[in-house]
Amino acid sequence: MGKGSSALKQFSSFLAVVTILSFILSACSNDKESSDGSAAPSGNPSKDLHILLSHSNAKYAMQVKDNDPYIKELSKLSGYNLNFEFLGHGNDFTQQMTVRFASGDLPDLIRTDSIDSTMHPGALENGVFADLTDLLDKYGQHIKASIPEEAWKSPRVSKDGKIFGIPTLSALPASRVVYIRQDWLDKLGMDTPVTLDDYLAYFEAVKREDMNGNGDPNDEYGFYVRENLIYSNLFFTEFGAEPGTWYYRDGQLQPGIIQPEIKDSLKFWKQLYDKGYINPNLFTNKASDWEAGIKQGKAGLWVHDVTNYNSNWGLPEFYVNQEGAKVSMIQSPEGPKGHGLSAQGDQIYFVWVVPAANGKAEEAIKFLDWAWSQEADDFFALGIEGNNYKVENGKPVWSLEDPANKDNDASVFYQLSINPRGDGRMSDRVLDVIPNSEAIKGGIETALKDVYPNDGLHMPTLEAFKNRPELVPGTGAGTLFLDMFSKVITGKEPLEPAFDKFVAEWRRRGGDEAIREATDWYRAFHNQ
Amino acid sequence: MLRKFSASDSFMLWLIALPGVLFFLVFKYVPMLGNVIAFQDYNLFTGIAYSPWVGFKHFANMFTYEEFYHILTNTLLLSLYSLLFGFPAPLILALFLNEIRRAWFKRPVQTLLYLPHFLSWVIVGSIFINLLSYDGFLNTLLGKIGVRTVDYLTQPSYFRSILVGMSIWKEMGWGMIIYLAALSGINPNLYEAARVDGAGRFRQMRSITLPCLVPTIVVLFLLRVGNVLDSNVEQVMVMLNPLVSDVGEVIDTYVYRVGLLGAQFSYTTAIAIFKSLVGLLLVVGLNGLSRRTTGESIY
Repeated sequence: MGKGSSALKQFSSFLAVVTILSFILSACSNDKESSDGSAAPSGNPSKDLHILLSHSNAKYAMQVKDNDPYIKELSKLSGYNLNFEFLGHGNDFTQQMTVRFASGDLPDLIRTDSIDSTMHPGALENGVFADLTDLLDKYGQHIKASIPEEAWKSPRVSKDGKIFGIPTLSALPASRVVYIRQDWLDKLGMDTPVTLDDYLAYFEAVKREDMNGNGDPNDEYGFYVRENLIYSNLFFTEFGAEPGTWYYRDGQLQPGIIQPEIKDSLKFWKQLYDKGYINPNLFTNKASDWEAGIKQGKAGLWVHDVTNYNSNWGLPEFYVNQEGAKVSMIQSPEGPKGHGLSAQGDQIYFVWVVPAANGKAEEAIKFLDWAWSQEADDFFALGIEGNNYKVENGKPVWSLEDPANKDNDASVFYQLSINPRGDGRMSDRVLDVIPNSEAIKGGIETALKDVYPNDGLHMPTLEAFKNRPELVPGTGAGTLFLDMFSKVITGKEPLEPAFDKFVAEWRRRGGDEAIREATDWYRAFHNQ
Repeated sequence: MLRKFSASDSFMLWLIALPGVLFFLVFKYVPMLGNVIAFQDYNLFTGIAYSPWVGFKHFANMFTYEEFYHILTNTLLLSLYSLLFGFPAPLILALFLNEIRRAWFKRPVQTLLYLPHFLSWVIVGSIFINLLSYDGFLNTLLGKIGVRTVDYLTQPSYFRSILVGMSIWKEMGWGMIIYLAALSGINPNLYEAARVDGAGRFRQMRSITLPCLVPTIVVLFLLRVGNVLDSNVEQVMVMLNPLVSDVGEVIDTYVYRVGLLGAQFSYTTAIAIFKSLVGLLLVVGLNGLSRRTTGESIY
């Protein structure tokens, strides 16, 4: 072979290298195409809104595809070209959002938990978020009319009188209730428990009898507890202190975890554990196992939200192999020092912020204002007319059983996931059409009665906890409190001196610093 | 057909190497410069250029943090156990499998053994939780023969063993592949000669197979030692609960809580630098030791 063909060979291999390189480079520079339901014909780029939010743990949003009909419809109704980008839920959301802010690629409208959230430290001070105060006065009439005055004052939304975030509201001011198996109560011939002793009597009966009828009397527990005491904060306020709540006592703002009343709670919980009234795997019972346990009839009583009545707890078919399963939503027990399940809150579910650099603040406010207007009521409650509901004799006919609403929990998508107002699953319009609305309305009232005061309301994250997650008040994973709690109630360490040791340790490691910081905040916030 | 090695050929080789070199530069070396944020109070929105320099503040914070020595001990113990038990496991498996001469049996077994590698830790975790939990498979089985129920998942004394056991189950088959490849590279003449001399199977393994594997073992060991302060954070998080947190909290779970959930980037970068330094020192030290004693080294 001659020289010419070798040159040709070289040239072709050179071409190959160039091709590969250009592939790699284009992959680097290629901007991520995001899923967008843009069907709105408007080619006007100022009407494009890119929204970053959480899928709120809802099935439909987790699997949403391009050209989704609901996003399309919402785009059509609002006149905006909407593009929703869903991140995870809970800790996943925090983690992904932190990374997202670190990347600097910010969309037009972002869901966060507070304008000075730990997901984006320093964002507010560095002018990342647009000042919305004037725009709200100008274009935000519906927003202003729908959100209570109190919410605007929250440090999660405004700073020094300027508004940087739009609060969205939870479905209800309080939603936690005690769910109890009414059919078990009936079978036992017992009345709805009211006092702590009533609760104990019910737990004892549940332990003794084979309530779920599977032949094994030992596989049901009076109170079914989830890991890290998530949705399991019973028997704390009853004795006078809830771990994650702040109390202004002796001129100091102090967390519940170090209050001496906790000792009474620990004694009570230990009794529940020792007598088998709670599930022995309470520290490893993950959310899915917890739900499965309730499904299989292992739980006589548990704590959760009213909101989930129609999606699981209230449905007889939710329970496996248990004819006539029925639940009631009851109030938490009346203890020697009170009762309560939900700490008094600001009812802010999350906060919208608008990155100033995108220059979309005005359009974002106009869109949100539309979302809060009456015009949008039907969509965020009932979905798409003709698909999710029909209008007969001027009245909407909507059914939860309709596959259009039921499959993949589609109704949760338009009521919660893409609803810019927050959680709309319990709005008046929804309550009018859903099944079991009487029971749910009763549950809502019950939940309201279980609200207890919280002196730490509106308090921002304390500096003292930033490098020390183990000190954060409450029963979170990895906290000193939960360590002590688990050891005491399982009998690995005696209550005395474990609790006092914990308090001393907590104070020494930075707790005292946190209390000073919290007290300063409290005095400044309440103008003392 | 013979061509001379010319200047344009070496240019060609460089060009071919370019993507790889670029990859390491862009994705490995440039990001390393970002480590300077460990010496700053890094703020996302002002960037590296305008964040204030704070010297060794974050390192000082780390060494004065109460839990630090506790989680450092936990991390080291966990690593030590997995090195002690987890490292030889694939080697032993490979030696056993190598003794099987029938391909129709060997191939499927090999595939089945490395299959768990492709499962995520969440799935492997659920499998082990279901096996070991209070009302899990093991307890049900042992209960039938009258053994007292033990909640293995909440016993601090079992925690490390469970973690190491899980890792072995999941990764043993995958690690074995490298050894099998090395085994197939051993000259069969050696075995023939040994057999003629009357060596049995164990003698062959001891005198031929193992010495021939020493280079592979040393390289894998040294690479592994560099990660001595890394724990498998996904695995630990799945298995962690408050009753075992005394032995279960490791550096990586702390970094996850403070860094990713608390956005303390500078602080957690400082911790990562500390981890890398320890790893580097160990690799350099053991590499030198190995070069002097076995003559094998990774560079």
